[in-house]
Formats: sequence, structure tokens, C-alpha cells
Amino acid sequence: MIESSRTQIVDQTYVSRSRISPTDVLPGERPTGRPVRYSHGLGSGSQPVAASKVRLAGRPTVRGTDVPQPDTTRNGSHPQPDSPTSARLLTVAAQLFHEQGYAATSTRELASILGITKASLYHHIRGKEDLLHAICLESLRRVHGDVAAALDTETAPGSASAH
Amino acid sequence: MLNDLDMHSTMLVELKSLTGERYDEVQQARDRYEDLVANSLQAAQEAGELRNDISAST
Repeated sequence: MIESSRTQIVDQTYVSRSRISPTDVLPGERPTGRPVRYSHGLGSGSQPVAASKVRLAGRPTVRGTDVPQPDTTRNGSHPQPDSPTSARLLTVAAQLFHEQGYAATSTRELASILGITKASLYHHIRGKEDLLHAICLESLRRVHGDVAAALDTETAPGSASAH
Repeated sequence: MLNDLDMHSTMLVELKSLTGERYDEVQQARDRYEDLVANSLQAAQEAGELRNDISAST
């Protein structure tokens, strides 16, 4: 019985270890976990490409315009990355969706540019489609409001009719 | 409108990516906006301020 359990444990250990091929780390190479994590589909714990771009650029920009920065003033000098407003979310998400397309934009990249974690982002939205939905509605709300306001001005008594 | 170019462009290009009720809701809002514009153009046509050989709803 004991021998059977030991064999089972050894077998499980072997199965677990066997996922890592000897070719994952070449002779003489300093082993790191990252290639193994990537190749075996484990949690990466790495920053997305966008994050490195942001770090290299110093100040995140999207198409050359400044991206709103995380609030670094609340409670002294401590950053408050978990306090993005909905408007800021929509603005940055719309920039990314416009530049590179909805399908090609990940919530991880969005969170990185906003300076918050993906988990924090999901406190504000349920998913990427929520963002797109909100952007579309906000877009139509604004153009509808602009046109309605222009028509009100145009038809108001005594208003100038030239536009 | 140019101030919100990213939002409007995203709405126009990516609306098709929405599904289910989300798509329906945005499409209804878009229909309301188009009705507003079409009605305005039609009123201008009837007032003789715009040519009327083109349908306001197209």
C-alpha cells in the first residue's frame, strides 16, 4: 500500500517534470523561467509588449498624443493606479481601437497603458466588449447632442441662421 | 465631431464586433441619430432651402 502510494507520487512528479524538455535550457545557458512558462502555457507574470514600449518612451502616448497618466497626487506621492475614471478608460480604449482595431487590442495592453493591472481594469468593466459598447453609445450620444443643439440654435427665434 | 474622432471612427468601424443586445442597443441609437438628420434635411427641403431631387433618407 505504502509502496503503491510512493510509486504514484513518483509517477506524478515525473509527469509534472516531464513537461519541461531538456531542450528548454541549453547547456551552459543560465536558466530562466520565462521560456518554460511560455512554452508550457503557465502563468507568465510578464509585462505585455505595450508595457515595455511605455517604459522605453518614458511617457505613454497613443498616436503622438499624451495619454492620461495615473493619479499620482492622491495621498501624497503614492500612485493611485486603481482610480481611472470611466471617461479616461473610454478615451484611451477608443484611441487603441481606432489605431489598431478592436480585435487586435487586448485588455492587458489597455491596462498597461492606463498604468493599472488587468485585475483592476476588470473592476470597472466586465469585458472588452463592454468598452466597445460604451464607446459606441457615447459616440452616438455626442453626435446626436451636437446636431440637436445646432438645430435648436438654427430654429431659435432671433438666432443667426448662417453656419 | 473631430474632437471625438477616435470614438466616432471606432463606432463606425467596429460596431459589427458587438453582439446580441449590445449590438441592438447601439443600432437603435444609430437609427435615432439618422432619423434626426433625415428629418432635418427633409424639413429643409420642404422649406425650399435644399434641393429636393435627392431623398433625405438615403
